[in-house]
Amino acid sequence: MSPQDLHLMTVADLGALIQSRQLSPADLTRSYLERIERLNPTLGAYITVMAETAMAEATAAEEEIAGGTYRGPMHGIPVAIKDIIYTEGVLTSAGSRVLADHVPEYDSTIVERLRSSGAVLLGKLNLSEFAVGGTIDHPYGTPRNPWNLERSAGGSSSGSAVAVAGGLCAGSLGSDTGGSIRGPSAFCGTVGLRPTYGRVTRHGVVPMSWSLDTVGPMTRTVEDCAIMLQAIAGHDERDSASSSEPVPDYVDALTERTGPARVAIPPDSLEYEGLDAEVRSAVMSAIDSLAELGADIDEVSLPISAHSGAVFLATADVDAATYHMEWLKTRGDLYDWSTRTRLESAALTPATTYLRAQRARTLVRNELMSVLEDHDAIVLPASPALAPPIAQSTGSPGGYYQGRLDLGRRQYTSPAALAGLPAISVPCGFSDSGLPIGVQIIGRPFAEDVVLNIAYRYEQAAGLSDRRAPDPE
Amino acid sequence: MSLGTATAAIVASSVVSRAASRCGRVRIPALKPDHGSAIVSELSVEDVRKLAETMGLELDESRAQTIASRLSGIMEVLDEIPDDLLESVEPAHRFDVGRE
Repeated sequence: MSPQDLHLMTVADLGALIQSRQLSPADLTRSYLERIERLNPTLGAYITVMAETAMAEATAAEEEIAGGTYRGPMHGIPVAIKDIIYTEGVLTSAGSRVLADHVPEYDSTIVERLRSSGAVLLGKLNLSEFAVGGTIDHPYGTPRNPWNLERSAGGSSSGSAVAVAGGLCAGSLGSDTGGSIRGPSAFCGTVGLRPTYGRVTRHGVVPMSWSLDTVGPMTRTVEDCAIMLQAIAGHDERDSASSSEPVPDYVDALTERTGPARVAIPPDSLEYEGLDAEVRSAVMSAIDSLAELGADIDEVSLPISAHSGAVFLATADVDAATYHMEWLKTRGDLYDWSTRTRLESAALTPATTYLRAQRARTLVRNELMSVLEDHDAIVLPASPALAPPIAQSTGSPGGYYQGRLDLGRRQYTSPAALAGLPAISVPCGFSDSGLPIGVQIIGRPFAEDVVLNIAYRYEQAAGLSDRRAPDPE
Repeated sequence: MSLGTATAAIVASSVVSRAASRCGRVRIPALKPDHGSAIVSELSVEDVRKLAETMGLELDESRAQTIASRLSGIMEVLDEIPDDLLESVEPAHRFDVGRE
């Protein structure tokens, strides 16, 4: 592997080279910073590049390792984080003009943990405004899908997916309230894990929905995802929703379980009219691969979850509107049109509608937990569609809301979010036009180890993890 | 997929009952209020304008129309979930992050 190809390597492989002192963290970081300078104006992944502090952290890591202290597989690895995660003294804009001057006075717990692992923080990544999704006008540049620059990178963790797929960091962190890690991962061909609600601290993360927000890794491989999750998982007394469930060894878990997985698939969900034919075909092939790997495949029905898009919007958006209410009144003009409209819509949601959604949320949770009582995982598409053209995904304000289609296509990512369950998106194929497709694996609460294990076994069999997006010309 | 069929409702009901039983949730006796007067199922553009004014939000015509359409769409889908199922559970006010 030449120095020009370092950006193609996985966290695991880079870590092995760094540990054996065959690779200098400073050289690696310099290599990434050069790529960011050259490619970020086209890809729009970063809002803030922390070049100076990144080089200082990399040099410190190098010295520490040379002195005989190796902290683990994240030591000296250049990573980047979604710009809703607080960084002391560094702009944390949440992708919004509203927070254009927001410089936190403290680090989020996640940043503390990344630094403790020895990771090198390259910068802050672009996103849909306030992680709400559907942004028309990105104030810090439009994130572009590395596989096709005219295509959307998805949302809301768009920059996190673009940075990984485009080779602008070794791994990233995104956030997933209702699919914001899994959707961009599917569009950009990365692996993205939404952890169980409470598994990863939210302290120092700009909220969207208090009962749904999660932060998770976005990487090139499942193994890298396990490595990054290990660095950030665990109880945090500064987050009231943080769980004290023990954290297993996620990397060991990749190969620990070798017996047949019990996998549930909902055939009705795969017949949804809004599901792209190529996505359906790729997901069905992934299910066949799981069966060939020895998985027991059962067909189940998820009739309530099919309605989960509306349940999600009536839950998460109302939370978000509550957080934004004062700004909507006093600084409404600073918001993107679609963000503002979506939040205002949520602010006007009748209380009876909100509570109907909360009851439905209980039903969704019960429905999934019932299936997971007898199964290790539920398999669904990570997104019903291929990455759409940017013009289409943003569109004109008048065409923003597409009615039931807008709600129906959320049925794949909303259920796990509403139920607080871990879910991963893994590349499972490419369209004829060369766009990535992701399959989603949903597991029981705090069973990230099982989800990662199934995803890893599938990834090894699928043989897609070596494919990389071409550099923009 | 529609929940309008009896088959789908039976499947959903059995799944929910099983899960509710396992999770130790109390099954609330179904009340049968006059939903027609209590539950809002559609909002007009004019309704949206009035609500927004009450809340101190200034809406232009484009946003008012989009919001009315959006909210009505969400309510329509939520209304498709059978009342007897919804009335069998409590709202997810507080979220349990423990294993089940």
